[in-house]
Amino acid sequence: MNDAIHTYINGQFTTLPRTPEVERARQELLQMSEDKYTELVAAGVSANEATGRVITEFGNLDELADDLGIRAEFDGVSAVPPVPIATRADADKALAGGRRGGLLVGGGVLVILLALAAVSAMSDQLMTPAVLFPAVAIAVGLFIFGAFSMRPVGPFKTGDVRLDFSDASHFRQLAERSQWMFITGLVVGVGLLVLAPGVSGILSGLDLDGAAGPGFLVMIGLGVFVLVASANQHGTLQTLAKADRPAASIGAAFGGFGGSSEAEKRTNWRIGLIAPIYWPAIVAVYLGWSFISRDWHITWIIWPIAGIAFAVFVGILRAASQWNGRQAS
Amino acid sequence: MLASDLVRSTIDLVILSVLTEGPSYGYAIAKRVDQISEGEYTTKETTLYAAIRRLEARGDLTSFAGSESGGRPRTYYSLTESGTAHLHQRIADWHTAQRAIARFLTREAHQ
Repeated sequence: MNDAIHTYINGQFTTLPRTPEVERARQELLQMSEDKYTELVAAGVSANEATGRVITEFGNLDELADDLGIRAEFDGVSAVPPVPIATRADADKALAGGRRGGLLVGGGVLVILLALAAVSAMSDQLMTPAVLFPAVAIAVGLFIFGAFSMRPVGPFKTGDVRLDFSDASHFRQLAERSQWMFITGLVVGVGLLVLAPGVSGILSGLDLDGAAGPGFLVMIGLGVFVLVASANQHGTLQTLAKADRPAASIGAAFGGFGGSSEAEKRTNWRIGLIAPIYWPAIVAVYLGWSFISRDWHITWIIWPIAGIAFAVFVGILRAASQWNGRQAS
Repeated sequence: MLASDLVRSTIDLVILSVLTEGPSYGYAIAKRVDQISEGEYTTKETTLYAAIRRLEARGDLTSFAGSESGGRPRTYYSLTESGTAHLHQRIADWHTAQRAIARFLTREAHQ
């Protein structure tokens, strides 16, 4: 099938509600245009000319508005300036950017935790800044590159550009197929975080006290890396899969589309409820541990760990709400 | 080529008439209209589909999933009894209209 015709017809439909009636009209019109194109080309008309003729003779969806029962929506939508439609190449670039961004940001966290592991393994406290500062510099560089890589995803997220139905369908299928990868990433990442204290316990049990701290940090670092990378990949795919849907104001009128933002609000509310309990508790643990053990030189470690644990917790909550949203719809 | 308002007022008759030849699908109907009218009656895809859908909603057509000779799936439309009755009614209306309009045409021609 000719891509230009597909894009043209799907483009006409992107602003309309996706009722079964509208979807049927889209399918039928695509089929009719496809048949016409095929026959013109078979009759010896050049591909370019055939495309041009099919598009100019296609007509106007306005004619269908009454028969499809979408007159009100059609007129309402036509008054809104259309959102530009991104090409498949833009979307592929965004997907690659989101993926790379996740790896870079996750890599940054990993670098910092590896440096902390190295510091805790060293006996010479004076060397700490020499290891820590370059690691932080590298990590910040990775964060900046990561954010830069993820930039092409932005317009899809904010709804400044859209995808046509067939391109978004492609990403919906891709998201569906890579669901197991995301779940695996989640399980591996959370598994590493959960097992980290156990492994460090085993290491100190084996009289390898020196390795217990670094081992713990390395596992946390790897866990966070896997979580950030897979969550980013998943998030980007989800964004692209939804990129053909009308903006929230239109979506809300037809139900379903507005659901995810509702779930998001609920998730944010939960996070808001937990944070004021979580952080004071961490302060209490930090002060308690420090005053009792007097190991002030090591107790600070509770802060990065608490921060990462909180980020992971928020990530899991968000993923769970997305997952529930998908199940519900 | 027929003016679009003339197409709009006659397309129901034209589609129903094509379907008296047997069930057919979107593009095949458009092509048949083009052949019978010897290229004088051209319809835009949206006009044709809107008319088909309207006729179906009114019960003049039914649709079913089928596949054309190449094996590709198509939605086929076929005439119902009510559609046949409507076609006869429309044809009668147009004969009357044709006679009436023809008098004006000959009158204009003689002046």
